[in-house]
Amino acid sequence: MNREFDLEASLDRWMADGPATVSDGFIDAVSDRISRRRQRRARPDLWRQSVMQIGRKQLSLAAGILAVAAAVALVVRPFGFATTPGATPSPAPIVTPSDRATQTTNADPSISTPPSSAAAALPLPAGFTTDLGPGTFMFNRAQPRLVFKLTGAYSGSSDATGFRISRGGFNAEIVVLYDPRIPSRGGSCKRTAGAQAGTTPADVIADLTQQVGLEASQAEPVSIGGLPGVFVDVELSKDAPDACLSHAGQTNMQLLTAGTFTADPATVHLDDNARIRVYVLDAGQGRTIAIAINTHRGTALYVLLADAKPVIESFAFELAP
Amino acid sequence: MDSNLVGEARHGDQEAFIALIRPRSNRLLAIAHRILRDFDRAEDAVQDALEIAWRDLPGLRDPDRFDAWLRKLLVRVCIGQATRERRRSANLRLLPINGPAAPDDLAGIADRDQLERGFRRLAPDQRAILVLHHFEGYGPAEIADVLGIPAGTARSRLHFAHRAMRAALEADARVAVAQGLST
Repeated sequence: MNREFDLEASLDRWMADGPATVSDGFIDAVSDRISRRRQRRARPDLWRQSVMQIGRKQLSLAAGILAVAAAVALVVRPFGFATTPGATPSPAPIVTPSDRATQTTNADPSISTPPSSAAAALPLPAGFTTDLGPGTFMFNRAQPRLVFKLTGAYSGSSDATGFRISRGGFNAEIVVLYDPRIPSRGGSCKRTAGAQAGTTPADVIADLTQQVGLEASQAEPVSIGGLPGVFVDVELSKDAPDACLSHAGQTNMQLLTAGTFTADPATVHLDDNARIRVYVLDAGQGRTIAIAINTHRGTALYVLLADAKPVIESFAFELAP
Repeated sequence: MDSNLVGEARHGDQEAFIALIRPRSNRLLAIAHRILRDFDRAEDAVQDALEIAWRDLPGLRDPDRFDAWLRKLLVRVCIGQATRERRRSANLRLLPINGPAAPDDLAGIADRDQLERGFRRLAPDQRAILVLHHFEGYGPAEIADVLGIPAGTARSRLHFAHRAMRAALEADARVAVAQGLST
């Protein structure tokens, strides 16, 4: 085959071959699916009419007001969140994703065009925050950025490598770590970052579950926020040699850390008698993202999973433009 | 006639929608299959696209654009599926096809196999562009319309898709030569 000259003709011929008809029952299947699907109502172009009816002066005035409002928002926003424990934060504004954002996500989850929910989302503040939500938030200190929605009040903390949110104190939490690592191997309780856990979700899960003193469920596939991955439930075995004592005197083991290991939010501890669900997602280009759901109380994990489900389901990973 | 059906389907008439898609489903499947290279996944993609089309049809302002709009939905769904599949199979190695050296009567089959392997190496959006161009016969302007990008961008992406395909075929040939030398 002379590829310099024949490629296009070869492609023409090659693409002419292929299946020509849908299978039996295809139309019935489509009919069944649409019978269970409601149509969206068309939105009228009200803005067109109103713009035509408004004069140029009014438009200029409106644009000026918007510009001043935007400038005020930029100045005020940095003071809207506390960055240290104990500071008093202002209430987080309620932001709901627009209909268009939902439409974009549902219609085509793979397209890299950011949904408008990202524009409306509040960036997670750095450090400790006592009041998050309800609203739409965005973790944007690492790629791919993560937009998610909270329907209730959470507290949280974040740094450059991930974030932690919890409801009802620190007994139930969702931790997201970019480029997770396995810390303190060999029974040491020293907090060291350790080697990168792996470049694929399967690597990370294998590295995680091979730790002595850990019991893990069978890994299962999952897809969260548009990224594929796997998940396991893990707990300490009765004779875990790697376990340490927490500051509260509780036996625990450091399970995962994030890349830079610079702050508390970047660690997931597995407590004695606790069970954690760990999702590891494939972020592409040899990068992974871990999501841990931790109750610190083994029997309550599945209650928290139900509670965390809407948050996890709202996750949307996207590459920033 | 179809404009009337689109109008009725926009107002929730499921029979009108089915009447619209029945004559189009084979062509949609063919497009999806060329992009995804798998019959079952192609059918799934067409069903997904048709469900989205039904849901969003009231928002379609110009009934005469129904076909172009439907293709746009389908191509987006296919790119999405292919992207997810590509991530899942990132660790899979393409296994060489073992068999006799290709004499003249098998040359066509060998070419098709090479094209298949080369095509599967391409990024999903490059696959879609080549299918729109070589199967649908679309020029850059029509490709741009389907993908929602400027015509100039479509032209350059088409150029790069061809170049990527050539590179993929050459890489495939190098693997074949290396295997031939090692045996």
